[in-house]
Order: sequence, then C-alpha cells, then structure tokens
Amino acid sequence: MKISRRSALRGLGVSLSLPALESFGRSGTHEIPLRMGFTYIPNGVIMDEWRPQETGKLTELPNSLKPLQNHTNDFQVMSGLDHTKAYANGDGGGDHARANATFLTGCQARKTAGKDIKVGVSVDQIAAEAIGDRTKLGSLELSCDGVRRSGKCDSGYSCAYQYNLSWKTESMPMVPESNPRLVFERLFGNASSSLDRKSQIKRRALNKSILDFALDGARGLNNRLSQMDQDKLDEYFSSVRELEKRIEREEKNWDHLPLIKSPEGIPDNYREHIRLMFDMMVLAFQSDSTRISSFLLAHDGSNRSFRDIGVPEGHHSLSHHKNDPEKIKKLARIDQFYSEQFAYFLQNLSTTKELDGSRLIDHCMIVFGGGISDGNRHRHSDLPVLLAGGHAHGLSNGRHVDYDSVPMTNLYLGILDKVGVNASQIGDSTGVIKDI
Amino acid sequence: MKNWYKRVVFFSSIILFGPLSNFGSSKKAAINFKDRVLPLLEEYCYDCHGEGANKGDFAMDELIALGDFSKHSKKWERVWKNIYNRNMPPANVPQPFDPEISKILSWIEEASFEHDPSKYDPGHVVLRRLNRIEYQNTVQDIFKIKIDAKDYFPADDTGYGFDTISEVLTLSPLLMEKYLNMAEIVMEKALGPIDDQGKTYRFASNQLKGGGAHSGMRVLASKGSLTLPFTSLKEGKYLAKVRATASLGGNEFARMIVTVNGIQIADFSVDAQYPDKKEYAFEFSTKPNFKNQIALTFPNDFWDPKNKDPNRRDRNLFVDSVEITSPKGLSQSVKTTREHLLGKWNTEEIGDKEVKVSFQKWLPRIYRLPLEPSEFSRHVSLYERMKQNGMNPLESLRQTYKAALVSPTFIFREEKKLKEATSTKMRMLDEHALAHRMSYFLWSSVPDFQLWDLATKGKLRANLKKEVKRMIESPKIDQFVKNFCGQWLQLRDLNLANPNPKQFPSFTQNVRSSMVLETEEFFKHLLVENLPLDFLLSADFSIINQELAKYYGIAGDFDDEFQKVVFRGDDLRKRGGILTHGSILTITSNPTRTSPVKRGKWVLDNLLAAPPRDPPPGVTELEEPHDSELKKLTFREQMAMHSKNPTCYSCHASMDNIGYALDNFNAVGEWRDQEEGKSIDVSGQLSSGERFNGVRELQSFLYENKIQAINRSLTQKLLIYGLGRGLTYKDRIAVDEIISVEKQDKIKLADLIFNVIASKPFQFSQ
Repeated sequence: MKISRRSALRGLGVSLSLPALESFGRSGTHEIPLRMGFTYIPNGVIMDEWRPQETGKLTELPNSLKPLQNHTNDFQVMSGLDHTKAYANGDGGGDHARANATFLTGCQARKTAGKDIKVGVSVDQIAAEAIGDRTKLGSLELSCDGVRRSGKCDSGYSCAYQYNLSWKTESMPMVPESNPRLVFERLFGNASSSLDRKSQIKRRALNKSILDFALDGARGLNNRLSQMDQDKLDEYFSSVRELEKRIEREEKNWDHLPLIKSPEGIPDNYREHIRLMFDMMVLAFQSDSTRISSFLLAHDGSNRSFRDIGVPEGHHSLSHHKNDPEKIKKLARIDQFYSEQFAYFLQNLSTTKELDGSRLIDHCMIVFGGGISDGNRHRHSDLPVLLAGGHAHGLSNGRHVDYDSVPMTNLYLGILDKVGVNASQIGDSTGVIKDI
Repeated sequence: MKNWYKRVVFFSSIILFGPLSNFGSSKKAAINFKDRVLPLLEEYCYDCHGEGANKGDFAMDELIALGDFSKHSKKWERVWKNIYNRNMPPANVPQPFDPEISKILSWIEEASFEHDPSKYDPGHVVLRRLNRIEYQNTVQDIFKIKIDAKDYFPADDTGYGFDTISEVLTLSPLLMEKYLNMAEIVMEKALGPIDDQGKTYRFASNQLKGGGAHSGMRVLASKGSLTLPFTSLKEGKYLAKVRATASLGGNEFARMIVTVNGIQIADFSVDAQYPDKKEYAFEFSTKPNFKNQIALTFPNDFWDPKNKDPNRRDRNLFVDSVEITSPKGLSQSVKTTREHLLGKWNTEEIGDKEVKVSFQKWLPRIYRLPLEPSEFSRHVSLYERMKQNGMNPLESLRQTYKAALVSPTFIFREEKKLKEATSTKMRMLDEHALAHRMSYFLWSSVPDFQLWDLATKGKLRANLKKEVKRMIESPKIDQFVKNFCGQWLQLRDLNLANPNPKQFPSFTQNVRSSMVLETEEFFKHLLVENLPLDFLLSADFSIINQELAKYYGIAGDFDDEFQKVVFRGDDLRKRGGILTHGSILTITSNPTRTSPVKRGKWVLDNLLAAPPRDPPPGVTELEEPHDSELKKLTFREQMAMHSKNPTCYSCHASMDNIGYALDNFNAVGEWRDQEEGKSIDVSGQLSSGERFNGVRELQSFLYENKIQAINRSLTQKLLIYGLGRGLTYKDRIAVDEIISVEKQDKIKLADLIFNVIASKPFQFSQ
C-alpha cells in the first residue's frame, strides 16, 4: 500500500470519517454558537476511584478517570451536587427510575406505572424551547438502549421514566434514537435518496399541505373528544407544529451537504455503539444541526455485562457490591470503561475545528455524570459529575471544585445562563452556579 | 381486653355512622360493617395489626377509629391492595376465603373510595396511539406491503408491563417526523416511485467494500476488487455508471473489469487521468428482490518507483461513486398492490372514478370507522387540489393517502360509543370500536373485512363467540402470542440476556431463539386447543425442535420444526410446564449465576398476581460491612442471612423459596444435579408451612393451591394489554366475574380470552 490512509481515518469514528468543516452549510460570518450536551452513566460509580481526593487543580487523576488524563485542561470535576428529588421522599422503592427521571428535570417523578405520568421539563428542553429554532433540530436525544425491558420497570414506575432523560413537557418525554444510521439520516438525509434540490423543495411544499390537512382533521376530532383525550391530542398538535417549523427551517438552511458515509446500524459491540453515537453528536454540533443534545449511555438499573473488559457479571447486580473488594474492583473497571468512551468523545471534539480554527470543544459544554453516586446504597447526593469544554466561554477547566451540597439543577441554570437562556427555575433549583 | 376494645369500636362506629355520615344508606352500611366486615378484620388482621399490635407500623383498629374513611382513602388503598394482592394476611396465618375477601374489599370500596361495587364503572381509555408493532401490521394488512416500522420508529414506552398503554404511548416530534417519512415509504411501496421513469440510486465511494479510502474516493492500489451489494426491487435492465479515474503507470491505462453476480459485463480502460473523473457506463439484467453483487476489478497494477517520470510510477484505480438506475415501468409487486388499492395498475387508466372508489373502500378502513360525508369530501378536495397543482390522478391519490397516514384518526384509535347512554357512566362501544378493540387485542392489527362487515351491519356482538373463535384460529393470532407472551412472560427480554459464554458455551444464538419459540408455541397450543390454564404448570409435554431436544437432552426423532413431545421417565422429572422452559429460567438469571430472587419474583409477579412489595428505597440493609466469612457461605446461606433482616424477610421468604426450588436449572436453563460438586438443595418452604422439593413439586403446589390466583393474574394482564390501561379497584368485580366458573370446572385459555372480550370493561367505556 503506497497511499496514506491518514487523511481518511484521522483516528475518528469506527466506521465513518468526518468531512472537512468547510463543506458544511453554516456561513462563516456568524458568531460560533455555544452547544450543550448531557451524558448519563448508569448505576452510580465507585466514588473513591472516580473522584480526585483534593479539590483545586487537577493533577494525577484517580483510576476510573485515568483515560481522561490527557484532557484535564478541557474539563472540571464537580463535587457536592445533589439530586434530592431522586430520593424516595415517601414514594418507596424505585431509585433507579427516579435517578433517570430526575437527572435533567430536578423533579420528583410521580409514582405511577402508567396513568398520569408526570415529572418535569428538562434543562435541555428549556433550552430547546428558547433557542432550538436556530437550528434544523431543536435538540437531539440519543440512547444506547434500543429496546425497553418488558414486564415491569423499577418498583412501580413506568419504563418511560427509566429510558428517557429529556422531557418536553412534564408528561411527554423526548424519546431518544438509538440507531446511529437513523440519527445520521435525520441529520443529513438518506444517502440513497437522490432527490435533487427542485424535487426536495416540491416535496416540502407537499408535506406542508399534507400536514395542514392533518391538522384540520385533528381539529375536527378534537371537537368530539373528552377532556382527557384532548390532552392526548395536544401532543399531536404540538408535534405537528414542531415538524412544520422544522420543515421551514430546512428550507432556510438549505445548502449542499457533504457526502459522508452513513453508519450501517446498531453495532453488536457496545463500545462501538457508544462511539458511533458520540460521533453523531460531534457531527450534529459540527454541522450546527442542533446545539442541544442528551445521551443516555444506559438506563439506570441496566444489567449489561462487560465481558470485553473482563466483567461478565451484570452491572446492576454487581453494583450492590456489599463492600466486596472483588466486586468493587470490577465496578471501577466499568466506570473506567465509560470514562474511556467519554475521552474518545472529548478527543473528537477537540480535533474538530471551527471555521475560525478554534476547537469545537471550546464551544461546547458537556455534562458527564449520573443520578446515583454510591450504587450500593442508591445515594443521590454528591453525585459524580464532570463538565467538559467551553473554554472559549470562560469555563474554568482543569480543576476539581466542591459546591458543598447544592442542587444539580443550580449547575444547569449556570449552563443555561452561559447560552443566554433565562430560566428562573429548574425543578428544585435554589440558585445559579455562576462559577463554572 | 378484647371485649373492651370491641365496645370502643362499636361505640365509635355508632358515632361515625350516625345520620349524614359518608355512607349512602348510612345505617345499613354501619350495620353491614359491624356485623359482617369488622369480625373478619378482627379475625384475620388484629393478631398483628390491632389491639396494641402494629406490625410494620400499621394498626388496623386505629385506622378504623380514625373514621372518616374517604378522607383516609390513601391508607385504605394500601389495605385494599395488600388484601387484594393476597400479600396480607401473610401465608403463615389462617387465610380468609375468597367470599370473605370480597366482603372486606367491597366494604373498603364503598366506605373509603365511595364507589358502589354493584355499579360497574368501565373507566376511560385515553386516546390510544398505535404502537410500532401495531402500526406495522396495520399498514401491511391494508396495503399488502412489507415495511420495517419496528426498526424505524423509536421504542415505545411501556406502562403496567405492556407497550399498549395509552397514557405512556406519547407522540414526540421525532415520532411525528418519522410518521411523515414513513407515509411516503408506505405509498412508494404500494404505488411504486413517483414517476415510472426508473429510480436512480447513488452510492458514495465509502459504500463500496474493499480497497482503501483516498480523498473521498475508494482506491485500489494493487490488484484487487471493489464490491457493491445492490438489491434490485424489480426485474429488468438496470443502467449503471461508475465515476472513476486512474493514476498513470507504465504504458497502459488501468483496467476496470465489471462483473455482476460473477458474470463479466464489461472491461474498461480507465482513460481519465487522476484527479479528473469520467463516467463508465454498463447495463445488467436482474430479477426482482434480488441481492446482486457488483464487482469492479483492477487486474493490471503497476509500480515502478524508479521511473524517471514521477507521474508514471504508480498505476492505481480510483472509484468516486456508482449510480444505478432501475428500469422504467412497474414491477410486478407494484402492479399487484395498485390493483389491490385501485382495481387497476396502469397509470393511464387511473382517473377520478377509480380514485373515488378507492377512497370509499379504503379510507374508512384506514380510519377504522365509517366516514362522515363531510370527511369524505374533505379528502376529495385535497385530491382535487393536488390535481390542480398539476399532478395526475395517481399522484394526487398518493398525496391524499399520505395525508391519511399522518392524520390523527389513523395514528390514534378513537373508540366511539353508542349514542344511547345505558347509564351516565357506562356506554357501550359501537361495533366498529369493538371490532378494532378485538383485532388489536388478538392480532395487533386492523379488523379484517369480515369483522368490518359484521360491525357495519351491527351484527358483531351477535356473533361474538364465533368471531373470537375464528380470530384465535387465524394465523394472525401469532401476533397475540408474540406480543402478549413477549411481555407477560417477559420473553422479549431473552434477547437482552447475556449469559457469560465462557461459563455457558452451549447457549448459542440458535438455542436462544428456539427457547422463545418453545414458550410461544406451547402457549399457542394451549390457546388453540383451548386447554385448561393449569396446563401452564402441569403439562407433561412441550413443543420443541431438534436444537432444544439436544440442549435439554431429550432423545427422539427431531428436526428444525417444532413438534409436541410428551415427556416420560427421567425427562418428566426435568421438563414439562413453563417453569422448566429454558426461556423463563434464563430471563430470570444473572449473566454468571442463577438468581432465586428473580425467579421467585417472576412467579409472584407474572403468575400469581401477588407482586412482592417494592424493596425499600436506598437498600440500607446492604450497608453492613463486608464480612470475609460471608464468602465461604453458599449463595443460599448468604441469602438466608440477608433475609433475616425483618424488613426483607416478609417478601424474600416467599420469593427466595420459590426460586430455590428451581435451582436444578442453571443460569441458561440446563439441568444440573450438582453445583461445584455439591448436590443442590432445592427444598423450599413457604411461610405458610407448605413444603416443596424441586420444580415438579413447586409446579404442582402452584396449580393445586394457587390456580385461582393464576387465573386472576392472567385475566388482569389480558385486560391491561387489551384495554391499554392499568386496572383499579373498580375493575375487581369484573375480573372476578371473568374467572368465575361452575365449581369443579377448570378455566380454559380460549374461553378465558372470550370472557375477557365479553366482559364489561371490554364492551363498555365511560
């Protein structure tokens, strides 16, 4: 082989390569936007192996964060953040469901297996409501859990709480996509559809009149429905309107998109699946298809086994380790696995360049954390949290900071503040963390 | 002491239930309580929850003394649930008989929930969205096409253990977007592409396999081939164009030999000089729905690093992209689906008349209800508008059907009721609504023509029994078996199970899928043959294939087909009944070991309708420091220690003991008499004192003593699945009615399904 493969592989993606940024549509005159991402790790972590002992400047990272050692200038570790609404507070068992449901909402999930589900609007959706119309997709929800577990979910909670991080309203989750190929098609269209620009425009016009017709029918239906059914139909109205807006935005942003190979589907290997989904997030940010994204690596309570790294046991059953050193070691290995994948993501964010030559990571704020600290005891206080990126916007990377027991949602208010979204309250927030 | 207390209660009850208390007919109710209910509570509850005893921080007598029952309905609801789920009284004390339980529950419902059990309230099922399986079946049945909605749509959220629950079947913007795209895909499959000019598929270089990547192209830097799989949807002659270029080396151009399915089609000299590209075109003929293999071979590599001309040193072939255009005209499958929808397939012959006939026939089926004239004309005017935009009738029809497929009346299942209200709360479903309740329940799809016709004539109820029988005998019943059992018995989770292959090498993919089929086929057999429910546990047979026969060690003549096998001798000791199915045993295990807790919980949750109470939040009992001695204990001994904790004991006692009886099966359902050289203790004892040893005795114990609980459990699950809502105390009587049979009679599975469909909650709505 005489030809360098470097230009094609660039160490990026397991099966796709990112094109040069110039080929993307956003024109260079605009200010570079600030993005936000939220990544969830399930079942808590072994805190002793995860969190640096000292606050202050990050130096030698503990074992579970070791894979991130090269990136210490690009993130900060945050201690003392709590999700008190994830505790039972009188609702009994179900800490895993609550950990997921509370993570981005800061609200106590109503305990129900289906009727009247209710939690709260999540931070990403508050942002999407305010600034989502600036991009093709208001927000992008990702997950590696493509199927729901059957039977009951955690202790009388509907599975909706456990498999969704993002909530558009207090009763409607933004169901995540788990197939990277389908995410890709949403971002860039279907590679095999060869519609030219004229037919694309025609198709959009058609779709608009089709949706108008459907909305008209919905109004007719609405008139003959009871109140409860009308509430359900509201989801329809709101989603169709959202879709109409999206179709209009596509028209505005129309430009030649580069040909990138679409991923083929969900890989068997979990590591590759995670990486492809992270690639999708990078692509979405890079192409400015969205500025807001959340990614559920696995639902809390997930009993996935990690044979590749020598842990054949199920993660959840292992997480109740009863202080067995053998189990603790294996759990820390899983925590490290997740850090490795996050490091891969940070690596890609920092090698991807913006139009002005600055790094994409400097224009992102990425939360990496979970709704349980100690998985053995289901603690929801002093959570494992790490915030990466945002250097161009003054974020204080390279440190370990302890906020000493304040709601996690205070951090979210701080993040919203950075992107210029004014929200007075998220769930249980008591103030804004400005020092981030 | 006891008498003293009684007097107090009696006294206070007179005060409470005096005139204008919260009872309807207060005096009668008070007497009913004092004479008929209170003695039962005293007998069955007070040992632990009265007269000073308050186990679990609960004293029944204090709750009664509080009076004002409706105000304390939350507390009474806990009482109701514990009694209804037979969690209380615990098994180690005398048990009330079913009529006694019914008396207590009825009283709580009346006094605290202010619900008159004799007046049935069917509740309200919120407008239900089709889940992705229902969507797929519906569209396939209406348009006679195949689609893959299951992979295309995001996962449906679940509630009460099922994915048919109206309140959690939400409609996110993402899903709406996909509905719109899917409508286009559906209509393209049904009517063919928008024009008949052939469709062009473009493949970027990185969709080719082989070679390397270079500047957005695929390169062959040495002898070799690039391949491209291409599925042709219709028969005929396809035109392909390869955009390629080559770098020079030596005295000839790079060659590119094209083969399709192994047959050489063309041999090009690639005269385009890198980086300028040229198109090289060829044609090939193929069959419909055929996966073709296209190969581009570079046979004449050349490399001479010493050549004086640096531009002639290295001959390589680069491919930029491939474009394939399908032949003009319609494929046979599109002709068929067009005829199905329009009566004709030829675009030229399709005019307003054909379109309107098609609308009249199919729009009501799409919406599952007869169309009002105004609705019909609304669709016709959309069609006319499309025509005015310059589309031909066929294309205008396509857009109208697309609109139908994103309309709320298609996406949501509206259930209309009959106009005349039988009572204020209870209205009978109209027959079209009943028809689709039935079809989505048993087929996960739309009513077929026969159901539709009967409903239209108003004769569905009159033929209910016959129709249910016909539906169960239809091949579409597989959808019920798959979707209901997949969730009730959690068979779907087998795909998520990941036993450690090092420990369990015999658990192959083939075994995994065969296990699911075994349980499905077994259940289907009980259903189609209408066998008694206790066969679930008492069957001396199963339905297996060669793979499972080998896995289970059953001798006999087997092949890939699933067949019924009756177990004899030692086989019968090990197999027969669903608790011996590999599927259930694997789902309820951890990746590296069995989990008696999970197995026990599975039985309580899914078979006995007696879900153990939730574990306490925070799992504090696990905080105790690790004891190095603990490691030497067997798993069972560790569990026993764990369960000594009184907060854990009450639930774990029943869960764990059921699980222990199944410990002859390892984590992938293989039989074992020993574990690590030690024989396995499979004895279990419930707190009620009943003992059983191993799976056979456990199963007999369950069907001999708990059959009513099993009947009730299955009925609850069927109603939840079929209605799309959770059950409440208001459904208790209906459930009891469904499972009530003449004494000595056993409930049979198909009869139970019929009873569910004929029941009030299924036939009526608020």
